[in-house]
Amino acid sequence: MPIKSYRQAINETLFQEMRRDERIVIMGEDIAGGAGTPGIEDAWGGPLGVTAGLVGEFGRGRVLDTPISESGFIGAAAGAALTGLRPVAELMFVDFLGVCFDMIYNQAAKFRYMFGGTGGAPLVIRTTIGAGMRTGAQHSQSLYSIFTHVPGLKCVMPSSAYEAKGLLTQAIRDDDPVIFFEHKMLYDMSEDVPDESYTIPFGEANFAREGDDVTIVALSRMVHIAGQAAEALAKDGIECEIIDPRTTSPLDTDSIIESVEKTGRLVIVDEDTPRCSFATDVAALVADEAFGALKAPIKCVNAPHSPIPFAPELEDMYIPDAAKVEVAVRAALEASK
Amino acid sequence: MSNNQITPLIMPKWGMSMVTGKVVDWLVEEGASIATGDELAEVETDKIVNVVEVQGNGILRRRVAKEGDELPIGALLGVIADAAMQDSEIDAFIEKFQENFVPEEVEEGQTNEPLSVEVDGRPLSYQKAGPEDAEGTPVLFIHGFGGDSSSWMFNVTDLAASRAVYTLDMPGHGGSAKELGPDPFETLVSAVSGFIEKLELAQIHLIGHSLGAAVAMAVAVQKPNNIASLTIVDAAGLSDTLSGGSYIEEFIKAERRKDMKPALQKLFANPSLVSREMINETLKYKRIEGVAEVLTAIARAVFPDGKQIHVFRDKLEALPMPITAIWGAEDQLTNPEDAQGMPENVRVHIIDKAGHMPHMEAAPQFNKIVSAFFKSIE
Repeated sequence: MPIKSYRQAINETLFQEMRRDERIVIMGEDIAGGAGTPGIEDAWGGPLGVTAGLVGEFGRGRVLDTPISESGFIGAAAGAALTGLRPVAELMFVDFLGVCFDMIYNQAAKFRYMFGGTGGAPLVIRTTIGAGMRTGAQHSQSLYSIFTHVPGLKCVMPSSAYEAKGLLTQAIRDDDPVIFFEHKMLYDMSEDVPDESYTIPFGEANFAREGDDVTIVALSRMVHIAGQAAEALAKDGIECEIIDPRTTSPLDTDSIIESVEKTGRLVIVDEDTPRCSFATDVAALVADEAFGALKAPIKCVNAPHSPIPFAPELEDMYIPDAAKVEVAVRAALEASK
Repeated sequence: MSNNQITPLIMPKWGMSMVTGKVVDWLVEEGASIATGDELAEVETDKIVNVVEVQGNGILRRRVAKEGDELPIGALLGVIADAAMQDSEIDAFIEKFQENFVPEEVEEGQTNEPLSVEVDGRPLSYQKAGPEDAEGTPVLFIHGFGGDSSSWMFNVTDLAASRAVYTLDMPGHGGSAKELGPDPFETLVSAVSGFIEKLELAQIHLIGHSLGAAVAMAVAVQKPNNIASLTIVDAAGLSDTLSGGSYIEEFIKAERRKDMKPALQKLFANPSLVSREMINETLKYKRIEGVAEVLTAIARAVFPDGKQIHVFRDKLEALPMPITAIWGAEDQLTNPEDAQGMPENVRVHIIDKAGHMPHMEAAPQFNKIVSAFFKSIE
């Protein structure tokens, strides 16, 4: 099977879906790259190179470079979805959601409900999350918990190239608004990705590793951080089960509970800040529905409750790493001795 | 094994994609006498657990790998020698082995990359193992419904010592085209026939499992002169009913892990063999566009309502090549009773404690039966 990067997998999905369905349009800032400069107009393909080549095949009628106005183009995308198009909008950094939040949570997320089921918004908003790129406090956040909080939105967090293609295909074919969170630090990570189209259903967790001692729930890049910790712990005979929920909304609660019922211990690894986060959500869910299975207190590994530091040394300390996950796993084991 | 020899027991390579294996359990104590065919250790690959067998006789002098170790192919698991060998010599052997051991480089796109050939306008994916100048009659493995080449991961290496071994992905499966045309069964048969022609395999041992066994029988009927022998494994196509017909529907419907796991568990006598990776790989295949349609089309054409449409029982007697039927005694899908009442030219082997996949679940035994069969006719 061909090896492709996370970036290539997303790019290929956009090509395949746009060929399949001409109602799909993509829009965002700089997505065609070098706007208005013939000859090099497609040299760039967005700030992270994900949309490269699309304008060449599909033209400017379907690949729309927008003004730097998130409320404008995300609102336009929501409206276009309501009229029957299937827009895929690129919100360059999730940190900019503040500018267009009304269009997402008060408009797109509520159309189906407020129009009595007669009009939905088949809209995908692709955006980037994650620290580690030295891009400072306003371009490095992992604000997926805020979207997970809103009824009417589906929230998708691919952890690898294979996952990205299957989940983005599903997102584009979904009839409701989907926020698709791409992790900046995963774009160059590669693996086998089929050339054919395929979909991964929402609300279906991936068991990224099997183990009997501790359940680790992790998303996006944190799946890999958890994997490093699990490798190290395995040398001491500690077997971790890693569950990647893939989507925070809908959430595959059954798989999480099934695993905790086996291991009796739960560690959640979440790159977002700790208060009212995905981690606290899963912890509450398990405490509520599987309290009897727990042999130890639930441990959450989050970023600290602070803005992301710009100093590289501090930024590295800010991001949950394998050492912190190991400590949490050992603490869970220690507490249940 | 001569008296003054030390034999390393190494991590075997099972299947094209295996890079490492994990030692789950030693089955023999240090100091125990062992003989060819003894099972020494259980090793887990990313797909299933299998046992490592010994070739030759001696004493397991040293268990080098510990339970739980994850080791690359070729790594030293243990040391076999006879009682006269000094401990110091064994220590020296181990030290030298470890010093010189370099794990096989797995280069991207080299060893794992399947080959491709076009038959009836469809690209077919296949793999080839065995020495370049092999003189033995080649083998062609045909997997079952919803399977692919990797079903034979524990069987290829054994046979490929002296001959070319081909594993083919049938249309609709693995890396082959996900489209079957109006007559799915005929498409599968024609693909295998066409493959044999295209690769100019004048003589070939054909081994088919389940649906692949039905296909293999159809090919043997069509091209009796090219087929040196026929081995059918937990075969479809011997009776007009399919005892585990509900499996087909469950497998087609399963889109999620929680539905796929119980379906796959029906294939094994020991359901705990169904690993996370086996479920994931099967779901990956099932998600690909066109696969659900292909599987549904095959099911309708070949196994409608728990029946079987293509039955070859009456044709076996007239076939000129030697035939072996192998069956797992605990098969829940194709009934082991279908192996009863075979014509005289069919040798029948029932493998205890194996389900629908004896070539995986009881691989050493399966391989022995096939090797002995080939030896008896070549």
